[in-house]
Amino acid sequence: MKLLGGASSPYVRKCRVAARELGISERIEEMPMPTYGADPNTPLAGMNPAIRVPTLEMDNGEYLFDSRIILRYLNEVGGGNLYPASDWTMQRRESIAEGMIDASLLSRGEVTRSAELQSKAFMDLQAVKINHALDALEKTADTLERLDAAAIGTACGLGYLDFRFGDWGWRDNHPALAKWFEGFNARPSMQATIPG
Amino acid sequence: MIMRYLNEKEGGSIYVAGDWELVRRESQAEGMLDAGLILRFETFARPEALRWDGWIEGQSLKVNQCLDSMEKDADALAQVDAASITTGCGLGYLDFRFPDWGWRDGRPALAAWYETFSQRESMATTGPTAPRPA
Repeated sequence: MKLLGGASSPYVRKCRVAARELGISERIEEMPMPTYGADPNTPLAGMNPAIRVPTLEMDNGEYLFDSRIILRYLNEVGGGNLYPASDWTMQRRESIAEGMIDASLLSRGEVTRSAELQSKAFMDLQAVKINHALDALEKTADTLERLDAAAIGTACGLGYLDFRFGDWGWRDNHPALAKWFEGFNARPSMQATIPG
Repeated sequence: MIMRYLNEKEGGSIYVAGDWELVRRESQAEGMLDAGLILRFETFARPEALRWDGWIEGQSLKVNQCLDSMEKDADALAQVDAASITTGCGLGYLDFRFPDWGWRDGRPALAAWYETFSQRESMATTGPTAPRPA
């Protein structure tokens, strides 16, 4: 299998962490693939029409995209338990983390615009979403102890905040989440995939 | 996620275990919708002075690439599943918010499929109806 996507993307990191936790990372070739700006000439355009990472080339030559889909696939390949059957509470938490990452990426996109095209109202809106998600995750911090898709998504989302928005101060009002992240972030799968 | 939940609760088959090809088709429709929503924000909600042509071009390219890929998959959309539902809702959204897009041009198989699919009761009774901006 080939996993296309760079080390700075939190969505790509979810897949890289999952592969390591599932013990199948040696079966996956990781290939950096910048996407910003939707270049029609990138080879990625022929693999994923939405020109996004992560994109996974499966052993049969077909492609999968969207980190949550790739995680499900890797979980099936690795015979893991990242998605316990019918655990909709876990999937709700995974979605909260995904929403936080989505808003973080939109914020990042906004600050990489030329200064005269940046919208403070848009940044404020995304900040509300990020902070709401953090509050919701704080309330469920004790359930993150299990290694599943929600824990991986949450950890990669928090790691991305630290990477791109180092002065966000999310730990200040989320002590349980901060404590959990300190432990989870020490896992080899996280330490091997630090964004950069 | 909600579709997966409804499918399980009602014992449906809009997702088929191990059918990753179905999920790929669903993802490309979702990718088109994501880009379409970003475009809608950029070209409507964002103050005109803050709009960025390069961004609009990039998102438009994504929408068109996804449409081209759907055209190739039009045969597979005949079954009612998560992929055909998402594709149908994506095309309905384009008609709703970007009626001048002309997505049917050059994509006859997709247009013919949507013509039929959009007449299903589930689609006909859920068409987007928010008031258009003046």
